[in-house]
Amino acid sequence: MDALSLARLEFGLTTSMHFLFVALTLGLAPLIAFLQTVWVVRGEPHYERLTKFWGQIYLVNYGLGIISGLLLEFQFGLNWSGLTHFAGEIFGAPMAMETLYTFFVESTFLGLWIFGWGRMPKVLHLLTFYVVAAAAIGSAYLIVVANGFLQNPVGFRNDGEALRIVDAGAVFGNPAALLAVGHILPASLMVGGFLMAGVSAWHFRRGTGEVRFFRTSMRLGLTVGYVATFFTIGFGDASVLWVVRNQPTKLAAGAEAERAQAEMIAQHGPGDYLAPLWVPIALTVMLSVAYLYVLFALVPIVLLGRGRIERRRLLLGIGVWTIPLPFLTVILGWLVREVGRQPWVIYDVLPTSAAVSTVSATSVLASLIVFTALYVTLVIVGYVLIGRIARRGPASLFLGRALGEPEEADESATAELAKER
Amino acid sequence: MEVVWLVVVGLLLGGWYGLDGFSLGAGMFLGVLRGDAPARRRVVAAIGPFFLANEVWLIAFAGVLAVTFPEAEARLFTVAYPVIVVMVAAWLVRDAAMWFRARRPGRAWRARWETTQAVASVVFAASAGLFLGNAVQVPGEGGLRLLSPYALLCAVAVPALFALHGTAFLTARTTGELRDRARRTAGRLAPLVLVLLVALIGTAPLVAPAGVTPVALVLGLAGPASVAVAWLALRAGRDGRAFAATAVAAVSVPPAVGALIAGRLLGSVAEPSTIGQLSMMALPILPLLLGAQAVLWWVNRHRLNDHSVTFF
Repeated sequence: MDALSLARLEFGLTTSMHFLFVALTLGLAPLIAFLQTVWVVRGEPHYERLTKFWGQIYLVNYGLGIISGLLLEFQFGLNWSGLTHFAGEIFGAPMAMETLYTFFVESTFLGLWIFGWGRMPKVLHLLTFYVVAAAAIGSAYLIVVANGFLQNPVGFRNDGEALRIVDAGAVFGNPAALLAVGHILPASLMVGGFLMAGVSAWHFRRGTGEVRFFRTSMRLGLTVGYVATFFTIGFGDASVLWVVRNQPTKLAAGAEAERAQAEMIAQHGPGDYLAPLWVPIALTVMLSVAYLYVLFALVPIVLLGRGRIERRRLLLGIGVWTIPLPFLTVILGWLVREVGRQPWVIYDVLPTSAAVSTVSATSVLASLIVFTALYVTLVIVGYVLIGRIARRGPASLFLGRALGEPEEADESATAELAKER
Repeated sequence: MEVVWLVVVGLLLGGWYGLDGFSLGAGMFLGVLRGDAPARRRVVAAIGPFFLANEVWLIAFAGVLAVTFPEAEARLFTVAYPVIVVMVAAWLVRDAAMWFRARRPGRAWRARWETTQAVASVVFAASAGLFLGNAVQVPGEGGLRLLSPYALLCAVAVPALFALHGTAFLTARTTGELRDRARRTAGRLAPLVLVLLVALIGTAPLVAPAGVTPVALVLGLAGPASVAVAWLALRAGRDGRAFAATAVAAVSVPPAVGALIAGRLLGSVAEPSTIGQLSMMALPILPLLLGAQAVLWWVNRHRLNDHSVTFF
């Protein structure tokens, strides 16, 4: 493989794995903000435990999101300096603002939230999490503005050597970005909501005894996830309509595809300008999943009243086993969006082959191997740890633990020792 | 305006040296504390509150550099490709070690991640030094050219500086036996770092193509001068002052390098339109960012005690 294919593969793999964590961060943040608000307003320990338990899952997932995101900022400079060189002014601006306005703010305030537990006034402590949640959403918006420019370049002037900003308002109000944000945020709420419901289902199935705790969680998760499904579909359909009108090579088939291909050839010379055939199929799968949720998530919602769902073992099992489904579907969505744009990195302006750095295939291959190995390890270990925290339930909460208390491990140290022998 | 952004870029990387520098240095100290699980836990607890807020400076640096000095960024990143790959990989491992350490029971599990963190911190710091050493020169392509004597000297000096900074931080933030141990180590590192920094400044005229400017010299000398202050303060038992002095030493390194290559950087600055837009959109946030970090420091200003909140 040449440097271009390797760099594309590296970007696709690392970004997809990064987004698994991003989606859950975006989806859980509003739910936790809600739980903590209720805790602060009502002062009930029930809601404090809820905030802590889901906060722990949120945090471990957030950490994985940071770790898997570190490379991305550098990857543009490493593998895609052609893009930075040609469109750095426009593409780089929202990226730089993301690092300053949102990632910087998010991390600093999250540090305050974690380490201010029990130390700060309650309302102030709640406000730090509001900032974290708002920064997460802002971050998603700015990244999608950068991506939206690649999908639908607007507000620029091409002086042959590079693109210059002409209209910043157009760049930041790009419909390709706004529609995508409208789609991604509720899709993330589906991820977060159905995960919350799925984990609660696991606890009901196992009869772990935390009935009230997981009743609240199940209700919140299902309701938010279900309502979010409709918004996800709405903005998703609007995006598809937009794509059909503005990116004819992405989803077109038959005669229309031929016409789009002919138009591109007339403008840019010979080449294959159509997206791979599996892109429309992936789109169909994504839509089907969403409609499955519209139909079947109604069943547990109807059974929520008076806790009837808590005894339906089959239904609970489905809730547990479908936790990964929204995750896989959001990745599918990105594949449609990004692979469907090929062979362009900036649609109709810059071909992907012109964006890749002038580095040897060996260098890219080495970094691909290093980072794929690291990311796969990260994903596996990360989800095992999240799964462990989820299964242990609210019985052992480590958020806000003081240095004077023994570490979790010390309690079961003897059991561990016995096992090792 | 270009000069303002040059200063901002220098300060962002300087901020990373001064802040994540001590996370990394304390991380290296975990290796020294092998076998002493309670002390290791307190080291992790000491850096915990600052950990997230420290590393963001390097991301911010990379993001802002890409927009404001795109040519320089593209050239540096392509030439130093292997260095950056190693650096980011070590960064990933260091962070994973920090995040995973306390998330599963078992002493062996924790000890393994602590040792991993120590090793990854050294590699991360060394590759950051290697990157800076190469930025001073204008190296050609190819892996071996990246390992010039000056770059290698940087790759030794930066981890040593971070180790000093990290142990000075632990001296100021912990108590008892751990504090004494960190202080002794810092006291031993200080003269070594002093020599390394002086060597870096002394050999800079040999490698910097544009020669050494007065600004670069002043910024450069701030490093060893602060290390000397830190050394004296450590001996006098002035923990806070020692930490402040090592912080100044760490912060001063990237701006000194930036001043050495200022001509090259300014020659590759983005279009005035970009700089103008970015100044309008991004500069106003900077005071707020600094304010937020100051609040974080204020909340966690005390030495560690049994009531300190832990997470990592």
